Amino acid sequence: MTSALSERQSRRVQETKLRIVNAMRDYLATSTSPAITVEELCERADVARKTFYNHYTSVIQLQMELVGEFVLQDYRCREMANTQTGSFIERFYAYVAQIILQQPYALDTYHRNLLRIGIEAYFQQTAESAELIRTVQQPFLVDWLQQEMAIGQWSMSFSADTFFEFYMGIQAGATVHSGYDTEYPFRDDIFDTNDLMQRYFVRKQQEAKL
Amino acid sequence: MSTRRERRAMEVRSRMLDAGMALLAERELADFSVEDICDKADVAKKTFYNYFDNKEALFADLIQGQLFEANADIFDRAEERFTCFSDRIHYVMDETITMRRDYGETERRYFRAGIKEIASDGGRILGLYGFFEEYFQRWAEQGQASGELTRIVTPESMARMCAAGLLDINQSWMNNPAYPHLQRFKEYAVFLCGYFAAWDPERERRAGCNIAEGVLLLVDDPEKKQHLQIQIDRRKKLMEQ
Repeated sequence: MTSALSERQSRRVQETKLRIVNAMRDYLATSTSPAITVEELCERADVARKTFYNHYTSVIQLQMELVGEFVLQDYRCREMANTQTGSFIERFYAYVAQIILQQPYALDTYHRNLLRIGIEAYFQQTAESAELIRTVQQPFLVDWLQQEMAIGQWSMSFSADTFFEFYMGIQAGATVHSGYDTEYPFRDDIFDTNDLMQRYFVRKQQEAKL
Repeated sequence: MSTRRERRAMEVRSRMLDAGMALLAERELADFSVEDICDKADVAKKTFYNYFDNKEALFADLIQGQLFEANADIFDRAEERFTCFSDRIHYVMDETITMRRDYGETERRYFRAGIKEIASDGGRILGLYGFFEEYFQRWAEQGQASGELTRIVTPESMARMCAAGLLDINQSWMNNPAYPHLQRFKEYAVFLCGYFAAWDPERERRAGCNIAEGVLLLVDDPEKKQHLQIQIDRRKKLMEQ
């Protein structure tokens, strides 16, 4: 009897949490800015303030979870690319191809708001954002490149880490534009950045062989 | 000629900026208040709020102003003295390194104080990137015209990439004092020149939209196919120009 009750209770707790998450999703899908107070969110979710704090420490924590969910699609791309064998360039291309296949073709309000949350976190370096940045830094790309550098396929005047810092820096700029500039051709830029990367790789490889 | 009223407003504003700067040199942003700034600048609290929403806004104005001023100087000189893209990029990075050589805790604190406000305001962030992009775009256009740079991407796109990396290096240093920002600026110059360099004319002519062409082989969805074809056509057009 007690266990049945606790099961029902825990189901209710999960339902309440889901209600909070969905209220946030709805808000981000329509609002012109991701900023919202706990009171306002609780009002929308129809839960008490105290209930919110049973699940989250702050609005930012919940928002960063949603950003993480969006970013995690990168993880799936990585897994698929990791199953590929071949040279660094081939694997890099497989990875980029997966991203292109999975990304939305137009940014809606919801995704734009997620990007804005991410941008603010990027500039402010909170504990949550530090964690997220570690996630998106894609250390696996560095590993792939380092493996090839170790066997003399590559020559660059800086390390593989530095190289990918630059790559991520360029992507951070693209995120800023995607989040705030409605005229920004974000899909064109994905192709441009990665095609330039590929040319750069090919050239560096050739230089190493000479 | 500005009116006496405008001159007076400018004077009050710069007094508050100076006071904020002086306080920040001594303490962390969290350790002083708007009252302290008003006290030092000898203005009423109400006056402060006529100019700024909060103390973060004051520092956002302050760093943005100084950043633009210091960099406009460097970028203008690069444009005046050099004609090719790579010379300009290397000059800018070398001068940036010279300027930042003595940067320490005070400068980091100073940047961090302003970035919070800038980060929460889309117009301000785009303005920050836009300031640098304007120079880079002009240089990229000229570099493409002279044949120094590849034409497979637009000058706007090149400009965005240049500015993004530059600001990212500063960002990394703001978050981590041990970050080797001086070395990274130099390396970024080397990277950018290689990244945008034109290939020999024959290979440039054959260069396509490689990723789009590759992905096109993987998809069945007609809508996605169409989007990829748009990319391929766009690239072809860029190469023909």
